Amino acid sequence: MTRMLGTIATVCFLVCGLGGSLAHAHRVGVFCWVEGNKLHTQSTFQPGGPVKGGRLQIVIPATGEVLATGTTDLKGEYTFDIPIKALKEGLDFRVSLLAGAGHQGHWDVSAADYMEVPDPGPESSVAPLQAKAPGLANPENASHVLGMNGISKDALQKLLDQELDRKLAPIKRSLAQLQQARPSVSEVIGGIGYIFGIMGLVLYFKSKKSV
Amino acid sequence: MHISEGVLSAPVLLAGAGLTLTGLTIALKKMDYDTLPQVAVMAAAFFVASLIHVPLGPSSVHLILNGILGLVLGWGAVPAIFIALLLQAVLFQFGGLVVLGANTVIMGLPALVVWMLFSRGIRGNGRTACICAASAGALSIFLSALLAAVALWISGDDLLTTAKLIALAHVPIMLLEGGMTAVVVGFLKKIKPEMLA
Repeated sequence: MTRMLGTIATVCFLVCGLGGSLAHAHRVGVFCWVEGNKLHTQSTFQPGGPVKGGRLQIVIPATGEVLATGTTDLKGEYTFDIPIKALKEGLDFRVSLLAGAGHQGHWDVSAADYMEVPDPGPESSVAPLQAKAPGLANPENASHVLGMNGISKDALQKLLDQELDRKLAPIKRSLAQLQQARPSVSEVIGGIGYIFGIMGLVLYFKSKKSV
Repeated sequence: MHISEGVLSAPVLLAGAGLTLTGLTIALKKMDYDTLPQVAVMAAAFFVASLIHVPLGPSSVHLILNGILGLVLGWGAVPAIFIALLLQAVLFQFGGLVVLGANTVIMGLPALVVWMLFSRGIRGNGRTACICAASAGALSIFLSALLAAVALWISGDDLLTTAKLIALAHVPIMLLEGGMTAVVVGFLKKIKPEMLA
């Protein structure tokens, strides 16, 4: 009986005393988002801090060919120029992260994520100016206005895409941070429950045998 | 210390799985089933320990507790570590199912080694016991780091660089666990000496 009470006290101590500081363990994650022809990456230990100095690679999973490499900075971030080969051929690729000492994570980028955004041509310098045009709020109206300036609908589409990418970047970044959720207390307690459940099962079958 | 999926080569994975199976078979035969509640408590402690983060300099570390598991459970440490790692892999995606065998060897083998080396020593009087327990705690971490480095080396990493990286990262935990193991063993010896395997 005393042994049982001791056991329960130990577990309560572990869960209550230490549950508050649950953090960092050994899973690494890399999250990527596209902005124009740039590919931003953010790498973190989940949960825990950024991966500093982690090695990043853009790999084509099918062939194993490495298209580009990079190293994360102190914030765990790195920005790739999307490789020309991938842009030309519309390849799906994988960004893999080697965080050292056996830690590895990856993120898949499909061609659809970046092919919608054509390579910004010479018009890109016009973008900030045109973006300020009041007519831009309404695409049809805008195309009319711009049409008078001699800019085609395609060019407008490009401008809009670029502008959207720029505006959405912070949202994508917060999504990246959301993805890196740490193990919840309920999962931890569930795990402990499993351990004692298994113990109970074994004891049950053992006691049947001895009877 | 949890090695991720896709890092180790097939021979290392197979060897890890084989060793773990053998270890589990021997352990289940040798285990005294009256100590099963202890095994479960220690498994739970090991399961939770990896989640407790101690910020240290640029990085952060966590306790592993395999030394104390060995001292308290003896062979029972193998199933305890296996179950805890299995649940960590399934629930938190630490490590993974494919590398479960290798990870169990990396953390379980040192537990057995320190138990065999120090289980007599910790029964001695005051100071000897304290030193033995502290060495057990520190040595188990060192051996785990060494095993992890060797596993990565066979899988193609550069041994010296990896070993240095892992060993350096684990020096603080070695000290921490050495101290903690000494305290826990001292405590157990006072209140429940029969708990030590």
